[in-house]
Amino acid sequence: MAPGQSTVIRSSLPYQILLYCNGWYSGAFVIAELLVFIYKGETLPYARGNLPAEIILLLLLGCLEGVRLFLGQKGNLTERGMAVGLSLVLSMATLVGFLYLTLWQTYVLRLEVILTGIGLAFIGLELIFGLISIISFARAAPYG
Amino acid sequence: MGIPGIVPARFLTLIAHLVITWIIFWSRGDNILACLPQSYSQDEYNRKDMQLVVGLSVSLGLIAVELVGFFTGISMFMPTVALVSIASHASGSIALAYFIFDVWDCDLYWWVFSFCSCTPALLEISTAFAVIVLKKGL
Repeated sequence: MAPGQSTVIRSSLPYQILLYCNGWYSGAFVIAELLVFIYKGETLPYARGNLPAEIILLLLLGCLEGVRLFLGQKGNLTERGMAVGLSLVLSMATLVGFLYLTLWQTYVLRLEVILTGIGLAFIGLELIFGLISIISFARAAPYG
Repeated sequence: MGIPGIVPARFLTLIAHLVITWIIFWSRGDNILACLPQSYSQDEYNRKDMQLVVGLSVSLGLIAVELVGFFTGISMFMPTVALVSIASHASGSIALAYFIFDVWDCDLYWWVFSFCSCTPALLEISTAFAVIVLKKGL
């Protein structure tokens, strides 16, 4: 470490805990949603093409969540505001994905409302803690 | 962190219990009919409904308490607390799934409540007391 540089750890612990738990939650969410789609495909009449489109959207949402959480975790641990910022930008995309599953998809079950609600709560909390950690990274490293 | 996977396991069982309690909250009508006699008055229905709503709300509150204890890290790395929590919340989620699907009598909810919501929450609260007030870093 170069002299004059601070040795204070600026990575945010709450943010890291949230991202870690959100990773597990997202995995469980995608599995649960796939099972829900199997149930809905078996019991409810779908317009042609709607069900595959929604399943593909869910899988893309899962991939996007993976990238977002990876960037957030690595950015937080290496104290790079850029990666955390990118993760926050991606969280806007996953926000729309969750909103689609809550509001605009063909059939919305109560289970899905609750599951996406928890996901949205995670995104909201991570938005707050992500912004706080970006600010602290930018403030404490004037020549970063 | 001695045992790998114990933290996410506890988190996911907690979330599962939260989700299923919430679902019962939204669709409790059949269960209330199951614990009323063939002919009942609106008054009786409302009383049973109120009892179940209170039980479910308290259960949601206890899960919230546990989530707070978990996320603030008070009991995140305590294997004993985690074991009790995982066991009771996993069995609670399964029992409540049967509660919905088999349309159990709504008075049976209190057994699930006492064993699967109260026990881990009491342990969590006593752990928080031990850590914060008595300064026993376990």
